Amino acid sequence: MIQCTHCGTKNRDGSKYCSDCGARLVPQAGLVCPMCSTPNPVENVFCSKCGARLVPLTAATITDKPAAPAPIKGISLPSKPAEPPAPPPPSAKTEDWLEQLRTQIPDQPTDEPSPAEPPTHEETEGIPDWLARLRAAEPPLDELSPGEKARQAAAAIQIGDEDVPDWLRPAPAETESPRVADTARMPDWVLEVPAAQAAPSSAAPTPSAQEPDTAEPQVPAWFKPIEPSPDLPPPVPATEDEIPDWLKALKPSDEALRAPAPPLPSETLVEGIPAEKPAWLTTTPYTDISEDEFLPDWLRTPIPPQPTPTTPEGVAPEFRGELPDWIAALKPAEAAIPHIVETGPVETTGPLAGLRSVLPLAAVIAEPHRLSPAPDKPPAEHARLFEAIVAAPVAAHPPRARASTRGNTLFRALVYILLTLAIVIPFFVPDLANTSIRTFGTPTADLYDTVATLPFDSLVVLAFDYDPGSSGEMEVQANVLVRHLMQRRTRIVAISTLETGPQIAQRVLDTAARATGNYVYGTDYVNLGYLAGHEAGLRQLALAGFAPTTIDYVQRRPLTQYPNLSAVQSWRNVALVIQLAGTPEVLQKWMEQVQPRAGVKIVAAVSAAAEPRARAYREAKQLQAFMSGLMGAAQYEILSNQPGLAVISVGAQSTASVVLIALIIMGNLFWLSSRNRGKTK
Amino acid sequence: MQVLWDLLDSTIGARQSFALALLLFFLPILFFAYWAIKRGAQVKFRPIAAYEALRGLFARSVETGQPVHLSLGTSGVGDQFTADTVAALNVLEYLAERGAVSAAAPLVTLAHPTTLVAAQDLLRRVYRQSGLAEEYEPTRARLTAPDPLCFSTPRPDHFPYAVGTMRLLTQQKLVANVMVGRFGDEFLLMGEAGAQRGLTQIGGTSAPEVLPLVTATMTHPLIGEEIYAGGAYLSNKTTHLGSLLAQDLMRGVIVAAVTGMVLLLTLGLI
Amino acid sequence: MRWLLTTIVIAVGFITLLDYFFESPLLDAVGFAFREWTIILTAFALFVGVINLLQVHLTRVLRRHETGAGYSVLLLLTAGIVTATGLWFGLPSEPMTWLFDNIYMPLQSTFFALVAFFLATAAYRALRARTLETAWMLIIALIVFLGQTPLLGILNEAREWVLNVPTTAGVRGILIGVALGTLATALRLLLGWDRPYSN
Repeated sequence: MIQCTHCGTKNRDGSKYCSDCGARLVPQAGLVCPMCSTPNPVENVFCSKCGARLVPLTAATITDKPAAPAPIKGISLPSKPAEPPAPPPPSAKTEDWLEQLRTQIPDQPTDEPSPAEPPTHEETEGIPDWLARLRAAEPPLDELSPGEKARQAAAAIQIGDEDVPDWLRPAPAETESPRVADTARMPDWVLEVPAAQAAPSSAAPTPSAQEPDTAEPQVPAWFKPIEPSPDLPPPVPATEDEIPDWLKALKPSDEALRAPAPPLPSETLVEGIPAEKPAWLTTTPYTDISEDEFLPDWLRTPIPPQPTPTTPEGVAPEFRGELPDWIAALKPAEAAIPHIVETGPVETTGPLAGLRSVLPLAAVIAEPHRLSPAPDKPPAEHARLFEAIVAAPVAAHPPRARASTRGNTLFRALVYILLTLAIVIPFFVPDLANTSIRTFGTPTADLYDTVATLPFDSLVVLAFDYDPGSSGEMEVQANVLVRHLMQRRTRIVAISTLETGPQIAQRVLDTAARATGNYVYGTDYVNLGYLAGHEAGLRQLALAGFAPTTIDYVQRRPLTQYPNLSAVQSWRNVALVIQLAGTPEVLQKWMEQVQPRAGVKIVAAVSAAAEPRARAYREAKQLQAFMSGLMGAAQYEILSNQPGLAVISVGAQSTASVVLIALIIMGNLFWLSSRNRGKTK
Repeated sequence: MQVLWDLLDSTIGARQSFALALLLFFLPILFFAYWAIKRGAQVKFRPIAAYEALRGLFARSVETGQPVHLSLGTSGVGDQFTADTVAALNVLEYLAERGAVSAAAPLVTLAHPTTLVAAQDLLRRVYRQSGLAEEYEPTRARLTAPDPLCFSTPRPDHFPYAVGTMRLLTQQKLVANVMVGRFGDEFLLMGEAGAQRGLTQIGGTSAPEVLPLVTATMTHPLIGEEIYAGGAYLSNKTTHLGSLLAQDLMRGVIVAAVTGMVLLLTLGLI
Repeated sequence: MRWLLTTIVIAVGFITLLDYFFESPLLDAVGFAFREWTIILTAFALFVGVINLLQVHLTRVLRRHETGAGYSVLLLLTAGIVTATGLWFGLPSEPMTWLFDNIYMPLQSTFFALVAFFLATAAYRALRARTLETAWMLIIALIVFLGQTPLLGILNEAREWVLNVPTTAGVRGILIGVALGTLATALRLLLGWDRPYSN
């Protein structure tokens, strides 16, 4: 299972995207950060999210203090002319230094360089962290011995053959007979250099083939100290023509030789700029002979003063945990890497157990991976500025006046009063809004015609599907319709899909019956109450019709006990269904469930909110006719020649509409003027 | 054609068969869209300002310490507007997941008891998944007004619900008012109460007749089916993205079909 | 147990869907049973809702310093009285009819009437021609408003046309989109892709 790093959902193996949030899934192969659980590629040493170390440091570095990196003294390859050389000791003759150089440089073995012996386990203790990290980035070398590791590391940094000067080429193996050097390439003075007897304790590197490990890594021959071959003839002093220019350049002048040696500057590092003299001119405490000052550093890398009891003799300094300067020069800038705390307690629990001070707490938490820029102003100036601001007397600004809500409240009250008057006054002055109400060609006219053409004694189903909230608008329509139906002597069966419908239906029917005078409950009309089940109930009704056991709302008797009305059990006997829909949803229910199944003619009286839906159904011929809102009721009253409450209400509605329109226009004018005022400002 | 229609009408019903055909046509589109999104297809949907504003609400709520009010509407789970309820629950899930961990959970009002059960369950689950099970309060989601007269079949009463919510909007300190779900005319009452208080209002409903009230009261309105896109825009879920893409594809098919039929009818070919 | 919940939801949903499309005695019976159970569950959910209501208001009453505690007392009292009356006298009965006709209906109508007043302030604040689209909306709204009043009969035809053509078209477009959204949401629930019910 692959866990999504975004939402934590477990996904099947092989999924590329999370099935829940859609984030791309990171394959589980790789390194998971122990601190923040972020998956990282294998080659990462530090977590890309939180900066924690992914690859623990080796155990050897935990117990002992790692050696300080060697100070960078500059590249000491003799191919580069260095600073003016310090004068040699006055006692040295001008030609003696060359003699000494000749005696020190042995013949280079010409056989193939053997691979560098890998450092021993103990030798890695002195490796700087940056090199350790570089090594750690490589695939795990757990299977390899330290010698193999060092060999691979050395192999990675080997210099190409063409870059190696001739006199640095690897010497022949000691067991083999010394090969004759390629005389055509070597200068004569090198050929004539007598083999120097290299002392075992000399600072010249004497790589030895000794390995503490059982795996026998061999020190390459060219890392071994150059030992003068005993068979070489004694060196012959070179003539002026034979001395290369670069050697001539190194030759100190006569004045410099005579002048006392100036005091040497301290060798401490100053902001990364080493105060140094050419390394091979430096008299180090580690060289016991003066010839060492002419040797490049990498040939006489000093043994570090720390006691290293396990340091094998004869091993090149690189493999004793020290690095020649030219390798140390490859070290990346310290500033780019957070400073690793070298002291601190060893973690004993958790995923970091056994590691020391892995996280650079201050650097990671406070300021991770960012160089703090040098402040352009000292902090004291900032503090003084802040104090000045705080101490400065501030003029007390008067509190900003909040947008007055009283004005809004008054305006709202005014609007409400105006609207109330507009609605109430027409009820007392009916002629105020008595204008002609158009009825011709309206949907209401179609509805009126439909009802007017019903045969006498038809059976009509009346569905009271509006709640008390809509009764203000719907009751007017219901009254006018029921009155017309009773005038046509139709038999009325009332039903409702809303719980409050039966009570409303009963009130409307009883009021109309009393007004008509000759309508009797149970004979001319019946209220079958609430139809449970919403859509399912309607569907059942459409399929099977009214059940014979349907109980009426008033007398609680089954339908079969009303013989004049029991024919409603079959839809074939129903002439018309009139639905009084207060909301579009109930209209939709009847249109979806009853109309397609029952095959009966349906008309509706709807609220103004449901008018768009009713029009759509009428366009689709699912609804034969409809009327909507107070206007529809007023039109019906006029068509019935019985203007009543609906007509008066329409008058009130008209005046209220005028007030609303005036408010809208006023609001737009006010907004436009304020916008123009803002523009001119 | 008429013969086929009569045959269908006599068996499973013509209109039902039409609906079945529509469903069977939509299913492969839905699967295809889901599969495409799952495989990494990048689909660009137009930005909806209301959801952009919704994302910023949670941050303001944390800063001010005032909750967001969320109204889930009057529909329930199991009635014909269950989809609106689910859309509202998606918005609740988004706000609750972010609010639970920062003590800024939304204040929920609703009108249907089945929605109450769903909302409470969702809040409880969110708190538990955030490891804050003890912070959950059942009264965070409150049923404002069930219909007290009708115990046989509960039907939400719109206006008492609106009045109860208006009281909360006028007296409680809130940072915003969000109204997503099924609403009727009571939308105007609640929306206007929030607008008079100067609250940021985000909301919408699928009922077309309420849309004028939505545009008049909401700062960031959601028109029609935009309420169903909440899961895709807010939570970026693959299933929601896939279904939104399928809706768009199907809408394109319907538009093409309607246009084609209009042309054929105009030319008298059918 | 998540798979069990999802399986139940998918199975019940598919059976109900098949019951809608096809007529079979077995499907009808099973579908009818499921619908009955839904009604029963919803009724029990109402009890949960009533308990939640009591919880909220009782807490407010007990913490007297909270605003609106008095209204909560009133709510609890009236709910208790109406419930007791209904349980004692039954439905339908004269006391319940009196309560319905004289308290419930007027209150509901009053709230519905409030919509008109709130509409006035909303129209004043929101119906402004800020952009071209809102300007068009404003013009159409004025035409429909004026067209439905008998004061200016000249706009009746315009109103009829606006309601028959662009409004119906717009409503149909929105309804198609809503139907697609409903369909997609329902299929997500039916296929178990969306599980708001499980952990």
